[in-house]
Amino acid sequence: MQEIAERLKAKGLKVGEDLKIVVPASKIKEEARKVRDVGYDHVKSVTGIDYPHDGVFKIIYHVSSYSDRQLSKSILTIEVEISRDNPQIPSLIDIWPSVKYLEAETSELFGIEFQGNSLKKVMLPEDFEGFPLRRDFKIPVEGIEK
Amino acid sequence: MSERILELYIGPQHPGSGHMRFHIKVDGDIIVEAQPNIGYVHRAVEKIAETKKYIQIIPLVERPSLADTANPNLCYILALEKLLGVEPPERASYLRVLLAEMNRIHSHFYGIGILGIMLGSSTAFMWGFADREILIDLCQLLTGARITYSYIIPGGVRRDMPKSFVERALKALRYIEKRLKDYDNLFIENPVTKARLEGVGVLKKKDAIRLGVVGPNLRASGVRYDVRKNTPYCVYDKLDFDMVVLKEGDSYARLRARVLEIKESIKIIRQILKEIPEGPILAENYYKMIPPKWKDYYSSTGILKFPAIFARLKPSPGEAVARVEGGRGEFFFYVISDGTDKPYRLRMVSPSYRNVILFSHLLKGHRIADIPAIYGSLDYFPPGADR
Repeated sequence: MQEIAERLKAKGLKVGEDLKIVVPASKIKEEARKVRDVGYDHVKSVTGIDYPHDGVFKIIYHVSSYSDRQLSKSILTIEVEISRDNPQIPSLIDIWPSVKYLEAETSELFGIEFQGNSLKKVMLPEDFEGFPLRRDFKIPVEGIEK
Repeated sequence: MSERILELYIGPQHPGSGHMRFHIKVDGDIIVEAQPNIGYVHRAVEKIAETKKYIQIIPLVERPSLADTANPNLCYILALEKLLGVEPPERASYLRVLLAEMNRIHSHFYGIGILGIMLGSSTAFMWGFADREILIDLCQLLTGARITYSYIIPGGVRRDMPKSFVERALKALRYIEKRLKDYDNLFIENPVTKARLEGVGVLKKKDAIRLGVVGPNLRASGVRYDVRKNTPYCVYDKLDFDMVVLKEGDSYARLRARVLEIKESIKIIRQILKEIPEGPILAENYYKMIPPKWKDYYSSTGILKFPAIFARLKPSPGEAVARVEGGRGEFFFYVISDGTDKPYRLRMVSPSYRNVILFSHLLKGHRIADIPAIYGSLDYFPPGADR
């Protein structure tokens, strides 16, 4: 892991041995491009996390590699924090096309806009209201007690 | 849009699969654009997980991908064990791999059967589903359940191997090997199968990487990536098997990759049956919490009763990721704990969800009649994708 961290540092990325990079939303594309140029060629997961008390969403990208054997043993984490009031972030689709569905799912279930990814709806019915993976989403109750 | 191009909706009552729809545009019967329309069986696993205790999430993560339940179970537990700081004893790791490989075989038979019926070979379908039962019976002998095993638990597994298991398993494996020759004659080497699949839906190596495809679909396009080899977990580093990598990248290569993987899994299971060490199947710090009465029960039957602590597992705050190679491809779990008895967030990425991106890529330029061939060759499973 140390060797991999060195390879990332050589590209000007700030990374520890846990292979985690924290970047501001405004720089996400720039930093992601550097990560890709090291050899990380696909995204395994895009995860949204809601922290309503702090008023933020965190978006976590887990990226790894198929073509570079050394990198394939690692999963690099890119963490971005965005405001809950204005949840927008540039899409990484032109850097990693593999984010297409992963971003769309996070977009739909959290109400976060990934600017540049035209796919918006994948899971929910068209008339569904609300963003179910937000912590303050009220799960509708059905049944005779309602 | 010119009058030449027609829009078609195929599904969601899709022949041979179901619960998804394609929105395609055709010129004559050539597909110019295809969009998969999924989500019909979305069951909000990630949301439900936030309301469940850690132990209750085991059956939850198994449910979406019914043909391959051992692998999401294993992947979730590997992530959870990192948070709990628990290591399973060696025998338990062997048993985990044993179940995962038996599951891989029956998942592949499922895929082969579905591809068979999509191509109109009802015999391949009947055979695939009948021979899948052989493995399901073995899994039942080991775990007590046919499909949803919930076998892999924090710190170990739920049951030890029964005495009759080795003999039954060897017999089953001999039968499967013999049967694979029949599959070759009837289905795999059949000129009709070849005509329908060869050169159809070719996925180039660079596109497979770019689109982040997983599993046999990735390896059939020449990419050397298998979690069991690249980052071995459990005891895969002690087992001798080959990664199945094919060059062609067409639908036929994807079918052959599955058949070859069955053979590798048979090889793995034989080694486990021979080399599995004696010993405990649950980590010592959990085993010592089991009341003496149930320890006696375990000694005589090999069946564990859960220690009471399983009902209130509270991993220390933090996060963990895990990946395993399932039958259809890589599972990825990301668990975030805030120190309570329920996860703050659980992310589950399934192989079919990673592969759904292939439909719009592969269908373009093919005929409508090729949709079932390409769909079937991907072993795509809508409930697994929608979660």
